[in-house]
Amino acid sequence: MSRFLSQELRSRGQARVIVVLRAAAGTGAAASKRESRRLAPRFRNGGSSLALAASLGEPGEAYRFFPELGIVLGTVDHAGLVALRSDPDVVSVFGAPALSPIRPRAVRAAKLDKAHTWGLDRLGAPALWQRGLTGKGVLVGHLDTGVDGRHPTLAGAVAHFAEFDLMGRAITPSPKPRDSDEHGTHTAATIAGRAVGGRHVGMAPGARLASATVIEGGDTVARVLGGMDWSLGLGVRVLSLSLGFRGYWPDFLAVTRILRRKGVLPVFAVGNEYAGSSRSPGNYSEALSVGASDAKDQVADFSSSQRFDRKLDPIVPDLVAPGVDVVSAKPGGGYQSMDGTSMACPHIAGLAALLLEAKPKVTVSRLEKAIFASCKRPRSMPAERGGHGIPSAVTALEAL
Amino acid sequence: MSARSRRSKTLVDPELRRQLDQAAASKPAAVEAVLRLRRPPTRRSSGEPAPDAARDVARKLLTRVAEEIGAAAGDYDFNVFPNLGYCVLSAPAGFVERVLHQPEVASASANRRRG
Repeated sequence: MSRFLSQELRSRGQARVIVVLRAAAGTGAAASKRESRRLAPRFRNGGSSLALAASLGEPGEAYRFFPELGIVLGTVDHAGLVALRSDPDVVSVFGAPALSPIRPRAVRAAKLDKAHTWGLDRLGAPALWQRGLTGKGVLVGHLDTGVDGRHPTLAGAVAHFAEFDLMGRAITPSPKPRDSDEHGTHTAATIAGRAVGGRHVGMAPGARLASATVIEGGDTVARVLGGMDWSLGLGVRVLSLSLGFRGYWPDFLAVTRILRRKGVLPVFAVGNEYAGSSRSPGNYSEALSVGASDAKDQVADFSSSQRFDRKLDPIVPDLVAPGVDVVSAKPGGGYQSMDGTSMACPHIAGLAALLLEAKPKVTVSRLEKAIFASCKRPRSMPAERGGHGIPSAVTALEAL
Repeated sequence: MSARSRRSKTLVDPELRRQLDQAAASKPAAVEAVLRLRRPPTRRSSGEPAPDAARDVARKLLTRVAEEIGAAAGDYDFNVFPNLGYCVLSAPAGFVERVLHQPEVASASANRRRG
């Protein structure tokens, strides 16, 4: 069994798979459709597959049949996988990595009952606010599931919003900021949420966002490229991406280099699939790769980490940031807590915005080095899991 | 000429190659490819074209290929990302294969991954 499949089954109890049917692709459509129907009980009617089916236009279906390819895409548990592998109509079953938001490992209802979330305090953002640094004048790119621009903490934070189609074209007329899910609103507010009633969830409450919907409901490379191109044209200095392909895929490698050359710090989440795994583009040397830590300054167990056979930056993530029990905005109002490297990533994007306000002309490399230089890694945190450790806003500012 | 012998020196990712081979083996279907453009070869400098030039590079490249293989404008669809120097193309496999031979294309990958 592949590592992807075994990890998925162990951690989630189910896995997204592609099933290759014996009927030849493109020539046995009718026969393979019969096979796919017969195999239907093998698939779980779980959340992942329902969301997937909905995104493919077949709401309520637990699997999807592609007649021209002679394959079925669906979600299975261990028993379903074993049954499929022993089925005479099945040629092979393999894991189906897909470009997707890095789903939180946990979501909980939450109230904002403190002046600052623990993550803001841990990184020292309030100390920079006291020095007058809030990220004002800095535009941060945020490519995700969208953003609820009507949430009180995001009032005035979303300077630009767009949605992109499967060919990476911005949909016109441009809609008002909205979230196709809840992931994007949470990450956006962690970057640039404004204080509401004196309570903060955002690292850089003066920064503004160029936020776009590029994921969920047809996840193609071109959608993300469309969002990157758009945000680059708007003049973002930081790009926060809490999404990726499981494993190492070079699709965004050249683009990430272009971003850096054009003065944009790429801050990407590394993934939630435990040690020995990572996602692209969060596992590129050229990205500032972010893993998740908890309130005890330990690496979250789910946080991905991996060593690559390369001279430059062989270990991902580069650092870890608060990514467990992170309270941030919920679409429609209110707050909720999420766990994930998706939650850690926007903390670092917000930190970069604070530093960029202080030194707008700093280079990407200098900015990144200052953040790395500010990191402290507890003795109990192995470098293989936590990279440089946890950064400090004050120390990073001094190192700029 | 086999599909393999027709292949260009452009860096093509394995998933796009799989999709092209699959499309070539079955009935004509559109393949979506993400192309990284480079400056026209007449210039000394390599790297991606300037933002205002990327659209022009892509348009001329695709028009030339369409003329070479007798394709109509409606046979393909594309979108240019000028700030990145990238382009996404949706076209029949044969059209995409021909595009991969063009000097303006540095590398190509699949727009849609498995799943």
